[in-house]
Amino acid sequence: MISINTNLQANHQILNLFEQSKLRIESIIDHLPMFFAVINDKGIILKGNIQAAEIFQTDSEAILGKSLKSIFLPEALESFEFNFNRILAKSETSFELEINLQRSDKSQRVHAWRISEIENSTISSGRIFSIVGNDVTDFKKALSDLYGATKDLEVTRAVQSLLIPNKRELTTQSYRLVSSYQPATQSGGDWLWYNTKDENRNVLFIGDVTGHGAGPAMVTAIVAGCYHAISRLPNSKFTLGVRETFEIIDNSLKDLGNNDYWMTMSSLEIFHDKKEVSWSNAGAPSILVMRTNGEVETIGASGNILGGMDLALGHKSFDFNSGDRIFLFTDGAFEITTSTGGNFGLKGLRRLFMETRNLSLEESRKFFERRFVEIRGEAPPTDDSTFILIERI
Amino acid sequence: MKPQGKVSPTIVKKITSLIKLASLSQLKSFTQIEDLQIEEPTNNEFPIRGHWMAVILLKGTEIKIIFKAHFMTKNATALTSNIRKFESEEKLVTQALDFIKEYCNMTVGAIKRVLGEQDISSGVSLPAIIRGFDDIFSDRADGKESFAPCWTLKNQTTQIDCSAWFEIYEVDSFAGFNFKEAENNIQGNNNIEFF
Repeated sequence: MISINTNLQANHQILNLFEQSKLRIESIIDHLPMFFAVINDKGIILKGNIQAAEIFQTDSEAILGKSLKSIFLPEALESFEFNFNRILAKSETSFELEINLQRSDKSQRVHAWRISEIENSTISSGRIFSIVGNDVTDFKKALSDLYGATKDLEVTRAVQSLLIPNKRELTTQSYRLVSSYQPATQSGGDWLWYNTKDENRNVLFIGDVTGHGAGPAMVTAIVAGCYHAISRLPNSKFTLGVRETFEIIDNSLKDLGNNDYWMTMSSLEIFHDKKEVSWSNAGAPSILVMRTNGEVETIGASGNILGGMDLALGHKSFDFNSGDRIFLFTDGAFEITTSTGGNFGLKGLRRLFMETRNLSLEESRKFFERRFVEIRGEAPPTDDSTFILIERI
Repeated sequence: MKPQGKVSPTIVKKITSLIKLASLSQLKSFTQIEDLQIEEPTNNEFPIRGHWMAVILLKGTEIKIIFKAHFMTKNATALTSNIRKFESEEKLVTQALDFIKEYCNMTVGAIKRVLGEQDISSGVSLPAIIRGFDDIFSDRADGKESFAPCWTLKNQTTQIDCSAWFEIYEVDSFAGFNFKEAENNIQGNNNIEFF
């Protein structure tokens, strides 16, 4: 008798455990953060969780026996029936579809579903099918917005590419140059240009609008547009002096930028028949000059940033002999946080420049671009990076 | 265990009637709702009869009965409205489920008692609550050896579906069974009997 009672108690405990575990599993399914339902071959719901019930604006008990087809919009119903019939005909065992549903309150939602047959030999009441899925309405909208924004940025990038020289190498009778332009995002606030219209006097420009992204990109478009307009004045071979050029750009920025956008800029005038070159600076970083013996000089000249203060340019003239190299760059080329958290800085860039002594200009450009990425590590760029490297022939 | 001999339709009908009567009289007694009646189930084709299903087993050498009560939470709470005051919303569902489990226990307990009074001994399991959906996995064979009648107990405000899947192993045991007396005893003695 004691044995019987012990077995009975054990059986009751097992039954109790079974009941509790079943109810907990059902509760988990009920609260799954996704759509879950089981339907029969007529699309009638045999079981549904809370998210499924929300579509019908009811609770998970009252969803029992409702027709799934009642929540489909016409074209969605057609798509569902086509695929579902393939399962019924055993052509497929499952299918996935994105489907437009109409809730009881007439609001429309987009769901991504996977429907598959539950194959179980103990099922006594016909074939049944599970549906798991998610409401992707918000996701789809966000994706659509993102796609639109991405397309806009692509257009911005394409337009901006028209504002900088289409060739990254240039060879003239007295010097060669290479340039690099790497915006931090799809579009950037850096700008560069080389004006070679004059037979003897060439002018190179490099500038950086504060910030990066679409806003500064539009400001660089203003500056570039402004520059190209004045360089095409009638009866002019661009004899406009550097100061006048800076003045016009400064005024344009003040007029149109509303003091919200400033720009650093420097220019280098190179004469084919003169050793001496002239560097003008409006708040841009110093430049580096590497002599043929490998020595690197840092040349700085303070000047006010354009667009905010009174125009004040810094000037430096210096000899640029055969084999010498001049390195002009924006602050993004050295204000880099290294992968270890340190600051790469102007000193780091100077060291890097020295390492290019025995490299060709093209090799040097690739070397800088590769090393900038390596120094940054896996972190994305935080600023646009632009440079011009010039070598006297 | 294989059924021995052919079960006559009369015996099936009388056993079905006995189970139905037990389910009705116990529900009336337990809920103190007197106008409950036995009716045909509203949608006999649909495989799921309710969100919840309480199930209990009676088993002996002569017969096996699996009695099920299929219901929605709102119906279970309506059935208990006369006899119980729920303490809070949180406890509402739990207490309603416990109520139906206890009702199954009483119904099958009454059947066990009247069978036992005519020397058909059996044991009864504890009742368990599972989701009504799980009924699609149960054996619905309704033929020569096993039978699965279902019915509805309802009044104007609430209802509960019942079903009983039963197998008769020893047909001869029921040849001399006095169903009239058993029905009288079920209706006449609604005292709760625990084993």
